[in-house]
Amino acid sequence: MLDTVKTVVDRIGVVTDQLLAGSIVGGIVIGGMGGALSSDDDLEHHGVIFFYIAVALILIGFSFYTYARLFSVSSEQELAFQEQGKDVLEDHRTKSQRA
Amino acid sequence: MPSGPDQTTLADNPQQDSRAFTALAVASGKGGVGKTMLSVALAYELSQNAATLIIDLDFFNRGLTGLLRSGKIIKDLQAPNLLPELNATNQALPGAVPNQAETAAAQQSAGEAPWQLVEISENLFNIRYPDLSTDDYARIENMQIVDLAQDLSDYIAYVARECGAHFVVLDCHGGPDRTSFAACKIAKTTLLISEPDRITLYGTLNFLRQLADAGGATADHDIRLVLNKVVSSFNPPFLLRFYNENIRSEFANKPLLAMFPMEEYLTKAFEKNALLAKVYPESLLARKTRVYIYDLLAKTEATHLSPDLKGLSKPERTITRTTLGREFILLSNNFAVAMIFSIAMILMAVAVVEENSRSILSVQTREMLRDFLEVFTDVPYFAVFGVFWFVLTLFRSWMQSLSRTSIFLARTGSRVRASLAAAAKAVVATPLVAMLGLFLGELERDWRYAYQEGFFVEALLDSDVLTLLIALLFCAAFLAEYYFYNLKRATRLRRYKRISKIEGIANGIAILLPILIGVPLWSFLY
Repeated sequence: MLDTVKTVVDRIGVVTDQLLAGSIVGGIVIGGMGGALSSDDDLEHHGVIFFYIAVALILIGFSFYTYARLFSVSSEQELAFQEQGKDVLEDHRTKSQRA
Repeated sequence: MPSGPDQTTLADNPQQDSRAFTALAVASGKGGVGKTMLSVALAYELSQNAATLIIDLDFFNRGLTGLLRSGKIIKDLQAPNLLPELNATNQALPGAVPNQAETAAAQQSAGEAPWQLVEISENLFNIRYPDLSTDDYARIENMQIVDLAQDLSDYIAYVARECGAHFVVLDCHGGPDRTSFAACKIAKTTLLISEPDRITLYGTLNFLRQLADAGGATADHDIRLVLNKVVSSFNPPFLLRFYNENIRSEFANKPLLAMFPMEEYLTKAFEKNALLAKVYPESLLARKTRVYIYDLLAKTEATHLSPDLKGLSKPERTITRTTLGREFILLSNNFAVAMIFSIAMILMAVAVVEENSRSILSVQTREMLRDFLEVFTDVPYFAVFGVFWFVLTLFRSWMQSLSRTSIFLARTGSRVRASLAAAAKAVVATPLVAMLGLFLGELERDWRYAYQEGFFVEALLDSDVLTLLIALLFCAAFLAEYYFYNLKRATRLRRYKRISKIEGIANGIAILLPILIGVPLWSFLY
C-alpha cells in the first residue's frame, strides 16, 4: 500500500514545478475572486471563504513542492534515472557474479 | 580504449613503498564526464600549500596537455622507462636521476621534442611531452598492469623529486584502459567520475568490473564516486538517497565523495583558462573541491593543506557538500514570466467572458466578474508586484552574468574588456538603485511630516509605507548580498586582492551614489 502511494507521489512529483506554479496562479485568482466578493456586503462571508481556499491552495502547493524535492522524485530525469539506474545495477551484479 | 582482463594481479600497491608523494587518480568509465576540469581544480586547490604535480595520463586524447599550453619551463626531463625508444640513453635504475643533457640530446636526435617540467601556476607543475606514436601506445596497452604501475610510479617519483611535489594528480583516459588501472594502483585514492544517467553509470560500473578483473579492487584501494555535470532537474537528496540505497555497496560502503552541478559559465570559460578554481574561487567547482579534499585528506595530510582548507567549518562543509546551486524557483526568469503571463491570460479570459455572455450569465455574476477584474485593474499592487518581480529576476540574472564576465576578464588580464563589462554592470544596477533612492526620498518626506504632525506610528503602519518598506528590504538584501560577495572574493585571493578591492569600492559607489543623489532630488522636487 505504502509502495503504491509512493509510486503515485513519484509520478505526480515529476511535475512539482508546474504544480507549484498552478497553485500560486490558482491562489491569486481565487484570492482575487474572494476580494471581489468581499466588496459586496451580502457576499462578504463567501469572499472570506474564497480567501481561505486561496491560502490553502498555495500552502498545499508549497508543501507538496517541498516534500517532492526532499523525499521523493521531482523530475522526469530523476524518475528515469531511478528506473534505468536500477536496471543497469542489476545487470552489473549479474555480470560480477558470473565473473 | 577498453582492454580485457589482465591475467596478472598486483600483490602490493606501488604507493605503499616509501614514496614521498601522495597520488590521487581521476578516472571514469567513459569520456566527456569532466575529468580534466575536476583534475585541474583538484590540483590547483592542493597546490595552495604544497607543490603539486598534475600529469596527463590520457596518452591518446591528451586533453589536459592541450589545455595547459602556457607556463614556465623549469627543466628537461627524462622520458619514462615504459617508452624505451624515447629513452635510449637511460640505462639507470628506475627512478634514478638521469643525465638530462644526454636525454634531451637523444630525444632531439630522434626528432622528438623533449619531455619537460612546466610550472603552470605557483606550486603547480605539469609534464609536457611529445605525442606518443602508435607503437608506443600499443606497447603501453600490451604491458602487464603490474609493470606499467611500477614504471609509472618510478617515473612519478622521479619527477616529483625534481619539482619537490608532495601531491600528484593523475588525469586518466576516459574509459577502462591499462594506464587508468595502473594509476588506480599507484593512487592513494581514485576518484571515479560519473554522471547521473544510464549510459555513464553503465560505463562506471563496467570500469569497476574491469578493474576487479585486473586485480585492482583490493580492500586497500580507496575508490570513490564523484557525480559531475548534474543538471538542475536533479535534487541532492534524491541523488544521495539513490547512491546510498543502490550504489554505495559497490564502493566498499563509502559515502558519495561529491556531486558537482553543471555550471555552464565554467564550461565556457574552461576553454579559455584551465585554472577555473583560481579565476572563480567562489564557484561550486572550487568550493566543493575544497570540501572533498578536506574529507579525503584532513586527517592524514593536514600539514600539507592550506589554512583556508583546514579551517572549513562543519556547517560550511555540510552546506557545500549538499548544495547543487539550483536557484530558488521564485527567482527564476522563466517562472516569473510564466506566472505573469498566466495571470494576464486568465484576466483576459475573464474579461472576454464578462463582455460576451450577457445572455448566459446573470446580472449578479457579471457584476461579480467586473468586481473581480477591478481588483486587478484598479488596485495597482498586483501590477506593481508583477513588474517588481520580473525586474528583480531579470536584474539578478543580468547582474550574475555580467559579474562573472567582468571577474573572468579582470582576472585573465583583459583590462579594457573588463572595464566595459563593469560599466555594463553599473548601467544595469543603476535604475534599480535609483528607484531605491527615490523610495528613500519619499519615505523621508512622509516620515518627517508625520513626525512633525505627531502620527508617526500610524504613518509607518500605513499600507503604502509597508509596501515601500518591503521593496526596500528586497533591494537592500539583494544589493548587500552582491556587495559582500565581492568583499569575500577580495579576502580569498591574495594575488588579486587589489583588483577585488577596486571592484568592491566601485560597487559601493555604484550603490551609494544614486541614493545620495536620489534622496535630495526627490525632497527638492516635492
